[in-house]
Amino acid sequence: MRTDAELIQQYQEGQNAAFDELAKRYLQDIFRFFNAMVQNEEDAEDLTQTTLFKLYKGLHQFRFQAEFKTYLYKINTNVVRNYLRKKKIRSIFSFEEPNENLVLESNDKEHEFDKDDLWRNINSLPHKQKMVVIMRLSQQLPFKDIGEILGINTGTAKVNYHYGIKSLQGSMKELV
Amino acid sequence: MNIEKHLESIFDSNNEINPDELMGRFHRQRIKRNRHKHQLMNGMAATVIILFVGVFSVNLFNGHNTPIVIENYSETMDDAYTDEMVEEFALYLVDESEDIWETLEFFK
Repeated sequence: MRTDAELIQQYQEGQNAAFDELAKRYLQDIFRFFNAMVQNEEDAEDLTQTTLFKLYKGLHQFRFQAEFKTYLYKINTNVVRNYLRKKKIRSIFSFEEPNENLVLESNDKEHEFDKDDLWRNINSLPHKQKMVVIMRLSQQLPFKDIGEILGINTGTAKVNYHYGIKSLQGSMKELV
Repeated sequence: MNIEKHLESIFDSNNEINPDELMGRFHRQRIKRNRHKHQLMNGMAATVIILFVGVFSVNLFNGHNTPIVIENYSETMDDAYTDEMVEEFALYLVDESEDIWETLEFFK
């Protein structure tokens, strides 16, 4: 199996098939990240496409100074930040309440009640805490990478995660 | 189950996508966007050329205005005709006259 760096190099040399192989390798992770962030499958797919466009254009300039995964998640965080900003602006002009409590449709009836509450509580977290929690639990990224992606140090990433989880635990206890 | 495990299971149970389908859609959109981009570039290039030719033409004609002169051609023709008659008459008199000094005196 070719490594990410090999695939990037081949893509930079003009082999478009290498891009497809690389993208498919991370597509599921990208989609899951966006789905966890925006909790809307259609929007998550659109955001995944946006990331693919940025990757397709940007990978030609990739200089192998950072891990590809870190580079990819930096793109993802920028894409989701822009999306949330636009959504906020749209909600101001349309006089609609921002849809912060949007909940994914679940096929898992067993945990439906808990799941809905958890999503609501995740959405109520400050943006950075939410990002750290999702990156850590949905993507299993190490704190060092999360810090690098978000432009904070590893300790701050850990602190944000700790406060996020503590806050979620607190709000879930209130519900019980 | 602690909250971290619970969250992990929720994130894992998120619906999955079909990578082949998504990649296919991505490439179709990419080709479409490229086509639009080229059309836009061609349109802009054509606009620039038209503007350039237009400005160039306006400048060219502004510098070399041809003055329109209205002349009284009937007057000009009359003068020319009179001059010719006088000349012919003078030559006739010079040829026919016996005393050239008398003829010159006549024209004074």
